[in-house]
Amino acid sequence: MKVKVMKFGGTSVATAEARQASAMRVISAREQGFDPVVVVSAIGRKGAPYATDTLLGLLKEIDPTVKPDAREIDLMIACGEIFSAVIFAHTLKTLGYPAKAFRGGQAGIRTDGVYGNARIVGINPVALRRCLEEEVIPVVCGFQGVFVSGDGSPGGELTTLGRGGSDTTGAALGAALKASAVEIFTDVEGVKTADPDYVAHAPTLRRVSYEEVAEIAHLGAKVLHPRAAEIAMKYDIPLWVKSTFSSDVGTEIVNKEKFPGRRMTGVTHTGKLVYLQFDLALAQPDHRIQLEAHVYEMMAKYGFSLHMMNLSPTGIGFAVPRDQFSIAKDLLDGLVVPLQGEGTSIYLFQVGDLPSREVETQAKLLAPLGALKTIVIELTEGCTMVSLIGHEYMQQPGVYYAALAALHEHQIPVLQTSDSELSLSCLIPESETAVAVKVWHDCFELSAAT
Amino acid sequence: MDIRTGFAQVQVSDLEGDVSQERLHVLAILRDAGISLDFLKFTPTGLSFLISETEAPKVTAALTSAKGTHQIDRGRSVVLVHAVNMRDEEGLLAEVVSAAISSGAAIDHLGDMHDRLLIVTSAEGANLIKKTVIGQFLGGQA
Repeated sequence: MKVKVMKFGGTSVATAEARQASAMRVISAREQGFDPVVVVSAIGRKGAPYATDTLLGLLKEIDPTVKPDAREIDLMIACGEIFSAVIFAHTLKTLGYPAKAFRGGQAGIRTDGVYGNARIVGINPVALRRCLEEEVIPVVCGFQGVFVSGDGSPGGELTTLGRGGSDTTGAALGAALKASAVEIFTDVEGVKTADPDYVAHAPTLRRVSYEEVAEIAHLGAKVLHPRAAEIAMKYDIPLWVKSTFSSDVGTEIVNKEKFPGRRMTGVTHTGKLVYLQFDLALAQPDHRIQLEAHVYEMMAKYGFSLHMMNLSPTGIGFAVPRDQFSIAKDLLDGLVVPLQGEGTSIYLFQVGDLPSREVETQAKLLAPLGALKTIVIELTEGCTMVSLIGHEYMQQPGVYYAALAALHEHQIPVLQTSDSELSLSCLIPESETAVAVKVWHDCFELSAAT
Repeated sequence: MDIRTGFAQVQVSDLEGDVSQERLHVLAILRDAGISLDFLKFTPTGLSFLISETEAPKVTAALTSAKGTHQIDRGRSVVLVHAVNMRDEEGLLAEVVSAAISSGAAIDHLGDMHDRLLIVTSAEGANLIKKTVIGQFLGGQA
């Protein structure tokens, strides 16, 4: 059996024409001697009638003040993939190829019990194998599995896999079925060197390593979910990113050992960020650690996604996504942390240069109680992060100079930097994103990347 | 978790005038000296970065022609906390950082990749962080 897992994203199943094009890809694989296993996302993206967000909206519109249970949300949003799988299977049937739709659980995907962000704990694809032996094409719902609690409950509980779940389903089924390849079909031709909205002729990379593509996804380009890349890497499954609507061969994603050498891979950018710089210079040395830990603990408790974390002798800083900023502001502005040690101090957090009414009220109330110290959190709103990704490149002398000099030459202010073995990132004003991406793309000659 | 040793932390401070321009000047000097650096961070009057400890004499020599003041702290380590797709787990990154700070180790820098958090600290601090993070997240086992 020569299994090929073919995963189709929302735009590849959005319309009858798109489904026809996707189905022809499956039929072509079958005609080439492969045993295709199809994985589908929900039909269409945000706003489409059966898209995940639309289904979630049906629950929210009942009463926006009452949060639905995670279990009910999973049952609701999993319907999008069920619709999609049944429609895709029927499309194949109408084209003369028998096909059968499977929910995640029916396909043998077992998960833990974390609704909304479940992890796959095992796959027993016996039903899929039987299907393939009967020369029927299985069409599996992406993004979902089943949690079997072991308490005797029949059937188990439907769970969803969280962000990028359908990519993960594809890679995990590829591993379980020992597939010869996993192909992720989308509406772009593969992994690009930059967002084509900013660099019109950004080339499609022919080959990248699992690590590079995971880092690209981590830093903002949502071409493939990192978890899928991790699974493919672990089980050494050839992974491809291709366009449903183009004859381009796409991008092959392989182990770094199979693709050695120094190279610059691409430029990415994240969404909108707000940078918060905490001035802890006033804090007593023995209190400082407690204050820093308290802030990070709070960010963890409320599920913040932090970027550009920075520690300096005078304070800490990090960026949060703009859509999470109002929550951060509510939590931090007027926050009171009393600490004892060498001396008792009451720390009052103030977001922005000027105190809000809440901070002023707190200050009046707390003043009689002891030494009050205000921790000012300086805000930089309207920023974003641009990142360079490369393989064995960032350690080269002069890379930082070249990257920063290019931005400086175009008068793009850099607010902070961050780097890793595979990347170099700069926090810049959001208004400069397009210029910065293009400047780096040109500076590092990414148009010639292959 | 892993600990990598043999690094030195370089602080360049007291750059005057156009600090952005002066930072670039320092980076140009380091480039010309063939020095590889990591964990570059901007500070109000300069920048800081990590180098291989063996490069410290070369950096000292190179920075004699730079403006401002510089300080090199040897014996730095990098703690790597591996967590596949840590951004998927909301708040996980902050939780690990909070644990690392609570360990009492003086942390020079933080960085993250798709599958790991990187913490620059002293050799002693690295062991403290490792012990705390293992205790809190890995049930005592790395």
